[in-house]
Amino acid sequence: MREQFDKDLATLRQDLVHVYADVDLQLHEAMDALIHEDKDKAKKVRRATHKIDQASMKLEERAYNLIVLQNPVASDLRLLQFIIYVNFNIQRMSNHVRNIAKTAERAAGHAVPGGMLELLASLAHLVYRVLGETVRAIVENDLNTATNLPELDEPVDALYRTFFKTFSKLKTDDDIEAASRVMMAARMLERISDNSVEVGDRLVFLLTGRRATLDDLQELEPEELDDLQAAQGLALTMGQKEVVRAANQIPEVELASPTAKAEASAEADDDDDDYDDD
Amino acid sequence: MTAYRDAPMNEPGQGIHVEDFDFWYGDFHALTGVSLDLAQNKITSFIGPSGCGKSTFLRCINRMNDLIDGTRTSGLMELDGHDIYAEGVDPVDLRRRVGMIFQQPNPFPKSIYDNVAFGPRLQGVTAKDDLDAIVEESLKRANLWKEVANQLNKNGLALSGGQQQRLCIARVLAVQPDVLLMDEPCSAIDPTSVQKVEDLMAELAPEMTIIIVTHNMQQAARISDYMAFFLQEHAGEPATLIEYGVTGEIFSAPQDQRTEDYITGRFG
Repeated sequence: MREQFDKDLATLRQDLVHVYADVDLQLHEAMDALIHEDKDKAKKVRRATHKIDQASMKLEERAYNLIVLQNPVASDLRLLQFIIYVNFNIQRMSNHVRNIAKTAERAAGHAVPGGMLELLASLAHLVYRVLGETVRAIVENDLNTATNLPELDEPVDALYRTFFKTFSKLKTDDDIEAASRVMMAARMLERISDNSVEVGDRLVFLLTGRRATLDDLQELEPEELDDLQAAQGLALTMGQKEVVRAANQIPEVELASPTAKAEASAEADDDDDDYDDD
Repeated sequence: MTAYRDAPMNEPGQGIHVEDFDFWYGDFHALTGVSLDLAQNKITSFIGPSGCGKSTFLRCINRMNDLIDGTRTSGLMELDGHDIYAEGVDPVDLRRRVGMIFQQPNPFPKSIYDNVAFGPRLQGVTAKDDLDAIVEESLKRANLWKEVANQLNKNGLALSGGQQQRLCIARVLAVQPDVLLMDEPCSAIDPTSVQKVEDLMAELAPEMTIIIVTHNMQQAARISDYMAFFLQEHAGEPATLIEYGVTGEIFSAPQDQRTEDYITGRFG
């Protein structure tokens, strides 16, 4: 029984990483559709996000079943709780990706003004980085990686705020509707990043058993983070090859040029822009 | 090295305080390096696989192991600031203060009344009115009074297993112990009786320190405030206390990998 339960838990964890990787993949596709005005691709993304929702609901159902049937405790219970909570974030992220795909369909053929598409591409790259590091933290059960997530999210927030400045500088003959749609897409990207950081918060409980957020752990040294870790069950480490394979589906992101540009832009605007979109 | 998770610390001179305690059955070193304070007026469960020393340690608390030839101890075990292994300590007096319930109910082959009155009579209570009051009070506290009030002269052995166990608890309560040791008290009784004994423990806990050895992990989770996990890691070596602390925390996030593996059912 125990062996089967271990396998069930390990498979659930693998499937969670698969679904997470799918969200990341579809976000890439949605952004690609938006930048290249590819309506067909955008439709495919919308369909894919519905599949993500279904897979996510099935994951949650399996997690609840294991709680009912196996009376899990310790890291087994924490893993199941993690899966249930992360599913909540995955469904929200999937919804945001779907909205970006809808934007891609609606904005196609319109001239988006003010270099907003380029800005959006830069923002997406920053979000890919947050998603990628979140998955890495899950795959490696790594609290150190997780604690970097709020820092990675900061330029996302900063760059998102520059959209308002760009929008305010648009001219009357610019396509305001197209600009508004891109603004909404930027909002979706920012929310996806926040959701991914929330997943990092949930990882804190999975790995330590403590109700703390990543912000609570910011000041701790790596050794202190190691000391916080609770004992880990087999389910957190078995089937690791498959988990890594799932994570490797996520495309590698060329971060240097767009990120540097975006960060530089965000830093330049950060001081005189106090808009808070929290 | 024991991992402590918000483990209780008694005020100096109060409750059960154990420090670097070892125990031997003849040449066999059964337990080593146990240090803990047992929370007063709370329920503490001892868990661990068979042979991990949890029952041995439980029996050390009222010197029940003295009855076995060749046993010896080292380290400190105090009750309210007094070393219970010090010279001159009367084990019988200690066992009045530290009562014990065993796996198999063991009522005397006497009436229900005489079972409960046995301890008080030994202590010199002879007046019938006093004994009547003690018997009624003890049976009420053991949640057995309603079931036996009209048949106090019935032989204790004629009761059901669950009733017998509660009779044994009433017998212990009659001498007003400070501590109640329970060695797998529910493993030989039916599920309904288990529920009654667990309810009884919850009712008694505010008034006395209860320590229970159990193999039932769910029972430990349900009833105990604190939990101690014992383990003999290698055959031939002494067992020790691996992790001790708040039950909810240990079940939620044990610090020691061996505790995690045991409570999640990966061994034992």
